[in-house]
Amino acid sequence: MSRFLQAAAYGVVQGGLLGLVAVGFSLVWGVMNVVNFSHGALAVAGAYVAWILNVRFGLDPFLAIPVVAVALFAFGYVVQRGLINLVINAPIFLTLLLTFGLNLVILNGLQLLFKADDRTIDTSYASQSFAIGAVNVPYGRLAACFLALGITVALALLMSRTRLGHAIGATGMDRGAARLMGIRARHIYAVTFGIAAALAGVAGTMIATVGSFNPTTTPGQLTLDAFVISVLGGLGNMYGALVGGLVLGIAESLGGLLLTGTWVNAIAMAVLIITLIIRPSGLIGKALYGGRVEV
Amino acid sequence: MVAMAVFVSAACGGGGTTSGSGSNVTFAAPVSQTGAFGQAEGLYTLQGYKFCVQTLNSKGGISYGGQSHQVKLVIEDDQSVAATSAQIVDQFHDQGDKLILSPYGSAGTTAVAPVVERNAQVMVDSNGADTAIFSHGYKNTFAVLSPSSSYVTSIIDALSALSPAPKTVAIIAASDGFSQHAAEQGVTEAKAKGMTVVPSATAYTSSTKVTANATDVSSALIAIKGTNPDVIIISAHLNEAVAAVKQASELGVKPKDGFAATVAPPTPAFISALGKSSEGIFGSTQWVPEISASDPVFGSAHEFLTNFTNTYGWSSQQYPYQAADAAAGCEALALAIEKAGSVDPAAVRTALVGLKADTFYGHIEFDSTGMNTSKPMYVIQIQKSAFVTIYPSNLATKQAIWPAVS
Repeated sequence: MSRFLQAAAYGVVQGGLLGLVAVGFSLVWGVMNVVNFSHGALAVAGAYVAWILNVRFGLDPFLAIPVVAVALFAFGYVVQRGLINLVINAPIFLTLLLTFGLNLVILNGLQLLFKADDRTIDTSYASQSFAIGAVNVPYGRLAACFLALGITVALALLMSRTRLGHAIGATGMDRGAARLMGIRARHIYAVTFGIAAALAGVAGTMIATVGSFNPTTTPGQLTLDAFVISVLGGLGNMYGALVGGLVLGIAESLGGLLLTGTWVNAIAMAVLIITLIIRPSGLIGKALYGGRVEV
Repeated sequence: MVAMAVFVSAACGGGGTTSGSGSNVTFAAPVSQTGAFGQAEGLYTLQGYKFCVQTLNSKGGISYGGQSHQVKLVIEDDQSVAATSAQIVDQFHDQGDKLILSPYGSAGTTAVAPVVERNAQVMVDSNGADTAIFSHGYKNTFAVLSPSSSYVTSIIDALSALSPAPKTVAIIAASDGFSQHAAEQGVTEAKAKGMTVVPSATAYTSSTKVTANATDVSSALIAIKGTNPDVIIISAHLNEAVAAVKQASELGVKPKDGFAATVAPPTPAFISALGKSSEGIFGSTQWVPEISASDPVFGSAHEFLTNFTNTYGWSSQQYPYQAADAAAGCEALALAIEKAGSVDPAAVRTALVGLKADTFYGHIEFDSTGMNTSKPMYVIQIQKSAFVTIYPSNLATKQAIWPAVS
């Protein structure tokens, strides 16, 4: 029983971290209809910013989060306005190709700057845990889980309670109508991509704090995780990524308990397939986002 | 230079004198420069091959047929994909390159060996230790390194020599053939040394088995949790070993005495990934500079270390042993060519069958399957971010810190 509880507890906090990885990806896909293949690369870029701040200035990764977010927001905004916006009306495959190319450029740049060694942000607490009976809850992943929850709630409030959020939502639903209402779609898209890049950077900071990262294998894994979680949770609902991450984290953790650890990926895919058979729009996604108007 | 070539030639029993420069000899290798191994083990292997060729050429090259021949190294990136390694070696064959140096890792070498056999090429394996490679009756593949069966057993032997020796061990094993076989042999050795394997002697094939190259091994650690082993041994490569040490702390899985791992600890990337958490971890290694061994090409083991680390900017405290494996494989091929007096792959193969060479890497001699079973393995411990040889005791430079965890 204690093993089951341990696996469940670990699955929840790991799921929160996965949700954090996916929330920005889901936002860009939902609003801009862009499947951003450079999401993992942006997360790793954020991890490097936090790592430099930690190694050079001794800044704790949680305190580095605002700096990482601002830096990545600025980068994302410029990339969207100057690059992705050029193909925003093109078929989705062209945006896939463009973001894939952007992914390669970022990763090669990071390799040139930092080499490809595995890095980690060493803290005295991230790998430690507190015990509730026989169950250990790791501080680092728990903090990442709360961060994911906080960011998701903040994002939901932004979308529902602010003019900016309404503009983002309107642009995502019908770009032409949004323009007629005086919304500057290009600016809204750039802000959206900037927010997503900032969230990716925050996720990368957490990955670097609780695990390790490198510019060769980490970005691809993060992008794949974000893709699966976004589909699982569903688009068009700010809580989709968090729910998808939690379901995936718990399924993988409990699955690893019952079967050989090598079945973990198969379990995750099985959960995804079963969910899509029952609910094609994802666990809490809105079907509207599959058939919106693009003008 | 010619004098150097003569020196090398005499050292391997070739004899004779050289009278000028002949055509280049081509060594071809598929080596990971991108992908999972690209920036660690593949890089180390590549540097070992380059250092070997550079050193051979600086000393006059390979001498046969009365002439000295410079060595040309042809490298292709296999992207850390075994099937790509095999394709590249087929392309080498089409280009007329018959003398092959292995890729990094057992998976790649396993894929390449049948291609080498089919094409009548000849391969010296420097970094593929899985004994399964040598169970197919291949005639053209020869490994300079100790087989996979030695990796965990050498750790068990080192641990049993400590006081107090651990009574219980848990073994996490990745799903690849090399790691599984190393774990299997380790379990047998642990039982022979009177240790109890927890949670069970077969767990490495089920509850503590993890996906190769995984970065989440929590399922194996949760299976171990509660069994309170004295030592956790990780039979895996870099990613899994790093994840195991980090996640063990998160999950409150604390072995009483410490951690050990097969391939990862004696690599600089392991220390850079784990930082202080790498302190005290034991690791099995194919080569240490303390061995009493030398040859005319590289000098002593210590001289190899000094010259290699100076060339590639490594610290002599954190050297990648895979580079020594690679240089030794390259050197064995050169010695066989000199012994054969030809670059004809059939003649080189015959020379490798009978090769008995004492090198900076230790003794190289192949058994009937192509393995170098006479070479022992060694165990290091990470102390103050340096690799410290602790086993066998006659090579130990410092005492092991034991228990390794406080």
